[in-house]
Amino acid sequence: MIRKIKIFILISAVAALLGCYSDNTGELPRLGLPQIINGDTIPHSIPDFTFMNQDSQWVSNETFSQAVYVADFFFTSCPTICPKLTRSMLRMHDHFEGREDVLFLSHTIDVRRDSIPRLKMYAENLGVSSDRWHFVTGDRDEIFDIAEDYMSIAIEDEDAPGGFDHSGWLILVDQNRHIRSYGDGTDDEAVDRLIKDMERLLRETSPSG
Amino acid sequence: MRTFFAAIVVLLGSVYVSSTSCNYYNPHAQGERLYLTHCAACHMDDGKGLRDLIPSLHESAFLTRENIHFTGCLIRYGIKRPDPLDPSQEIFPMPPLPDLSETEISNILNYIGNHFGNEAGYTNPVKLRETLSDCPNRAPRQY
Repeated sequence: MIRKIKIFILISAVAALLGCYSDNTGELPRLGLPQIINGDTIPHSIPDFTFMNQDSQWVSNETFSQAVYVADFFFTSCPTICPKLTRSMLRMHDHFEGREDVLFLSHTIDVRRDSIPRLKMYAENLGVSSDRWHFVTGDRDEIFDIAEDYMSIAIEDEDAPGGFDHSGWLILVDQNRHIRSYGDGTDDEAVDRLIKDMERLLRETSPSG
Repeated sequence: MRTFFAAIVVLLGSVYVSSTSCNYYNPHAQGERLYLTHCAACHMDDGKGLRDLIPSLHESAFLTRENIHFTGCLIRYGIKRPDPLDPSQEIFPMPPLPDLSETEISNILNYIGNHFGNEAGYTNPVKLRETLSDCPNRAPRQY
């Protein structure tokens, strides 16, 4: 009897492991509202954009064509969730140290106060550079609009602390502009999951690396 | 025999319960709660801050027995950091918390002053009221 139970446990364990295995090798979904054009389902993708980063360089979709990237929305004088978002971004940035195919993109939603020099100072105080992490500004409405494409919210709201209301998602985007995962930047466990998804996406896009 | 085992189980159970509930006493429960509500968004739950942007509170060179009361001024009125490129603007300031009472600020100070490796002693609402009435950074400002 005990022998049968042991065998049963062994089989269950193998089955559970196989379940994990297949789950980890499958592709991450392409998230967002798909479009249907001529009967074909086209997954949602990030539209064209051009913003300027902390080193006064133009940053566009082209900047990320060879890399997966994590995007978020913040502002430097934000007294609420931004420090935690930035800390989570920093944790991922440090986790993928040395990988040129993993980049980070933080959009300020306070384009009036967050000038290029201020974004530069923010990046320097964090000890990061535009080699891997772009802090960008641009036309206010373009930033608010593209937030929606990243399934995020960024609006001006004088009643909100610091003057802006925004969501705290960290959004993972692949080389083809598709959103592949996301996580709550204020939740350490969600960020752990996002790191795992990033590793999975990297295996998917460059199986050798 | 069965009774004996039952007795052992009850005994171990009560030891476990007492070890988790009786021996643990947090003298700064209020301060910790207030810290997590009002300070941790920036200084983080673990007090480590964010590199050079937000100071860590661990083994703080500033938070000492001499400074613990004055630190209340920083909590109530904030820390201004003029933008070097445009002094009319502020950059990465510490926001003021004008709505916290002396008791609440005392609780926070006694928590952070005796956590994160600090040994800054204690303040109390009476002593703090005296210090807060004469803060060098008192001028209220718009954030």
